[in-house]
Amino acid sequence: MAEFSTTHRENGEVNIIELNGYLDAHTAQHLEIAISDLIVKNKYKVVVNFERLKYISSAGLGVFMAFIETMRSNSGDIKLAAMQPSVYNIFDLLGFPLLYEIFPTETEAVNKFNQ
Amino acid sequence: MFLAGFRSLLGIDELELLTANTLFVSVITFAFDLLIIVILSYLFLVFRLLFFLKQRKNVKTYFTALLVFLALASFATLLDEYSGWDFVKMAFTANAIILMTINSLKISWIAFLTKKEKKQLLLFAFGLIILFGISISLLNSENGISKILNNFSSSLNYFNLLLNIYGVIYFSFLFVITLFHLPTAEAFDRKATEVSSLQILSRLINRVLDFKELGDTITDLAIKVCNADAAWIMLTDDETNTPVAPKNVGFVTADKIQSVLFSSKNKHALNEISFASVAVCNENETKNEQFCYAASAPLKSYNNINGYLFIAKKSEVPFDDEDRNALETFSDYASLAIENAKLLKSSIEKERLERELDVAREMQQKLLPQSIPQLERLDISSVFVPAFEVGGDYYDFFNLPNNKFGFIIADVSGKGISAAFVMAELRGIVESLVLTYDNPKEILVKTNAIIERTLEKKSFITAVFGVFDFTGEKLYLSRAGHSSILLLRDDNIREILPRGVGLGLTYSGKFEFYLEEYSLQLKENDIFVLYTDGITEAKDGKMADFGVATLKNIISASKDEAVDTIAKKIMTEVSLFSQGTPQHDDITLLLFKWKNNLEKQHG
Repeated sequence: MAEFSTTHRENGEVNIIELNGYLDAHTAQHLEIAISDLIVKNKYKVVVNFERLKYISSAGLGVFMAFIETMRSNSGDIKLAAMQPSVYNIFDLLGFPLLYEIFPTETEAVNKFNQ
Repeated sequence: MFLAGFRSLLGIDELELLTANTLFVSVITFAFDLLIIVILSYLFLVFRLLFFLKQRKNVKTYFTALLVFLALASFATLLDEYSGWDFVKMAFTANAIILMTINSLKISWIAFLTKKEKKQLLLFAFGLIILFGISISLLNSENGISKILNNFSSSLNYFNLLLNIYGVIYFSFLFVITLFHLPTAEAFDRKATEVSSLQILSRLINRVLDFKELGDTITDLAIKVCNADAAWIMLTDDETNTPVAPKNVGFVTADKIQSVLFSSKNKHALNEISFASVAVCNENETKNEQFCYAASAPLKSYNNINGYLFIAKKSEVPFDDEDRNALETFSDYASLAIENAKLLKSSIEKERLERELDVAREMQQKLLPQSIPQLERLDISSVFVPAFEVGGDYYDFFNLPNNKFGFIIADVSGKGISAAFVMAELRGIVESLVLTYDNPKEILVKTNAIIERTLEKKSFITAVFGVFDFTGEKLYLSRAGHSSILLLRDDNIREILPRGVGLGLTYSGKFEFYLEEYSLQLKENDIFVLYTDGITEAKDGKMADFGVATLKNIISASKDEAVDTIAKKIMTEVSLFSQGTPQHDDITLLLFKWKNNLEKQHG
């Protein structure tokens, strides 16, 4: 049914995870593994590119909540970027923009890390 | 045994009779003849029984022919008086002896005897050959018995002789053939054990519910089938690699042997049967744990390896090809049995989960208000439709002091029994908080602080807490990440969206800092609609959302309707929209319609 995939690339110190498809209770584990892999490698600066993400459920949102503390306490962060309006609405309703940095483009998010 | 008894009895009788007084003999002659007839008949029946034992083909003709020639030869003795007719008797006798020889070869039943039974048979046959031999030599010499029988009937005497010859021939063949079979007896025994073990296992395949019992049976049988001293199983889905159902082996030794078998030198061990000498790895063990050779066989099903079956032996003779074949066949059966048990377990697990969800759904239903409060100035309507997987929706109403009325609508993230538990916890927290507080923000801030203990890191709750103040005719609201509150006033519909983050998103001061205290002066016929995302995210066949806009349209068109009617309309539209797609989340809908205080207006 709903398909989901991630890709990972690096831009200097910053790790970029691209999301693709539907992020729900069934696919959330996939993203969890992708982020845990970074933590294992002591990489704490993460930008998540939402450009190709079509849908996110509450379980998908939970993934970011599970890791944000670890990233921040290791002087890193998870920054979110390039969300489609429907996805942004879900984050917005929940109040995510007050707690997470969300950027219109990936470049802006990466630049924020490099400042 | 009976046969032996009778023969030995006969032998003794013959010896005694040799020395007996002829007068005495004549007295008992008749009885003796009868006795001989009975014994011969019995003997003949026994031979017949032995002949037909485990015969598959129809061999009746052979035996009948033998019987005919025996009879003919016996009756031919009547011609003894006429010299020159001897050849008739001799011809019949020769035929009878040929048939005896042929019939004596039909002893396939000895193949089915175990080695022990074959050894016993050898002794037994040897004894009988001697007894029959003695009997023949006694009959040939011109002694008492011969005379008595000849006096009675020379045919009977000759029949006796022929039957004794048959006995000698039959048991000689039996002796020789059993002797030849003896070296292969062990192999035969092993095959027999193998077959019966596989039979036991295949019977178990469809019956065993208890995984431990299955494991025990497999290792028990593996020891028998593969000539081993110890056996155990390791399942791949168990990360600790703990031996399952170990027989005659300790965990430590099993571990050591496993590591030798799966060492890097032995790469193919993971996919096929593998043997190794393990004498070195456990030379320090106590005597009953010293194994010399070990083998492992993967338990495969549909190209997946479910685990491994291990066997080990103490003897210094390594496992041979026979053992290998046995292990191969046996591990195939065992993996089938294990796979079956696994499937059974997962279907039981599924059933259990479904029952758990039933419990969760029931629990959620019971924790929701059983009736809607009837208030003079506030019409209330509510709809709750649980999803199959239980979404963790929650709503409640509270009569507060000072002429106030509170309500909450909330949605716990995640699904199933854990969401239902968080919902129950939330209800408990809110119920106790409303006893002390009547400020929506205060209640949500305190709830957030308390729920931190229960809520998982990746879980959160969205909620709206509202308080209607009948005296001040005001509505106070705080929103923790929940969907908007819809207000229909006159002909305008609007979304009320006070700032605030979901419960559990942060436990720092930020939660309180961002949570807005919203208040609104109420007007006659104000309609408030609150909902969970089960409504707005209801999907149609093309995965499109029902959406807030559709919801707003329905409400705008229902200005003069009663709240119950509006609720029904919304639910009808939602179910029409999502026809054919399963409801994936709980649906909760709350509607309030405000009426001003008429007395106050008039006054």
